[in-house]
Amino acid sequence: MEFQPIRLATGSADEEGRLALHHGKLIAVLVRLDDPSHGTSLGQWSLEAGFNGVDSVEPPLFADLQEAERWLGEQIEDTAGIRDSAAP
Amino acid sequence: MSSSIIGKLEALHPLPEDDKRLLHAVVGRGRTLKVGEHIVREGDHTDIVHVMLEGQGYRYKTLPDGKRQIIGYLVPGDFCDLYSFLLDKMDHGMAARTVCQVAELTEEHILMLTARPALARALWWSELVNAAILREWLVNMGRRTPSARVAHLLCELLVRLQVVGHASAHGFKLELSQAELADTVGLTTVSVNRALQRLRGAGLIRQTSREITIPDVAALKRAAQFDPRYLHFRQAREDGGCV
Repeated sequence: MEFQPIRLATGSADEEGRLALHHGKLIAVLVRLDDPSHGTSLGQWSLEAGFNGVDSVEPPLFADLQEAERWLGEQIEDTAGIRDSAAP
Repeated sequence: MSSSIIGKLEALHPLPEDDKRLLHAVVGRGRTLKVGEHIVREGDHTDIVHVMLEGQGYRYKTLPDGKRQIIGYLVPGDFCDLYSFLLDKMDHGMAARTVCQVAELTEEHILMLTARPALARALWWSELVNAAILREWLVNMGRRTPSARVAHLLCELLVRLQVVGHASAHGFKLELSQAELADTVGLTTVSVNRALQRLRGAGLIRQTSREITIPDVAALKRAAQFDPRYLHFRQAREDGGCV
C-alpha cells in the first residue's frame, strides 16, 4: 500500500491528507484531525472516503498511518465481507 | 406535570376542559428516569403506556454488531408507545437522553381517554404525526447533505419544543453529544463535526455545550428545506404552511 500526501478542502483545519493506493489504485482518502473542535480525537487519522468495499459506516480513528494501513488491509481482504456476513 | 401533554395534544386538536381535567388526573406525577435509563427495551413486552412529561428521550434500534441507530426523539408531551401493549415484543427500544419524568398509563387509562371524541382524535393525530416524522427522517437521511440533515433535525426540535413551551423563539437547551447526533443522522462523528462547523460558519447556529441558538430561524429552515407542515400542528395548518 502506498500513501501520497494531499491537501484536503474540508472547510476546517483538517487539511493534511493522504491518498491510499493499493496496487496503484485509489482505495481511500485519509485526513488528519487537526481542527481543535475534534477535542480528544485531535491528531488522529480519519477515513474521509473509501472505495471498493472500504465503506464502513462507523470507521475507527487511527493513531497513525500504520494503524490505518492495517485496517485498510483488513477491509480489502474483507471485500468479500458482504459474502461472509451473508453466509449462514 | 400534565401541561406538556395538554400543550402537545391541543396543538393537534382542541380539547374541552373536562378532557384536560381527565388527562391531568390520569397522568399524575410520573416516574423519574436517570440519563441512559431504558423506558422500554427493544424486544421486551410492555403493558404500560409511557408519556414523556419532562426531559428528552430517544427511540433506537441496535444492530447485531452493536451499532445503534437513533430513529426518533421523544420530547415533553409525547406518547412514547401509545398502542404498544398490543405487541408481543417491542420492535425498538426507548431510553432517557436526559433526566426524564415519564408518566405510566395502563390500557384502561387509554380506553378512558379514547372514549372521549376530542381526546381520541387528538391521540390519532399524535400517532399520524409520529409516522409523518419518521417519513421525514427517511427523506432527511437519504436525500439531504450532512449540514442540511443536521439543520433539519434542529428545526424539527425547535418547533416541537416550542409547542410545549420548552424552546424560545430562537433556541433551546440542547445537551446532545456529537456521537448521539451521528447515530441520529447516519453520519460519522467527524462528518457531524464538519456539518455543525459549516452551520456555525454560515452564522446559522450558535452553540454552547448546553444551548443552541438560531439567530435567523427562517434562514436555517431554508438551509434545511424545512417545511413544518409534516408536523401537522394546527398553527401551521391554519397558516397554510411554510414559515
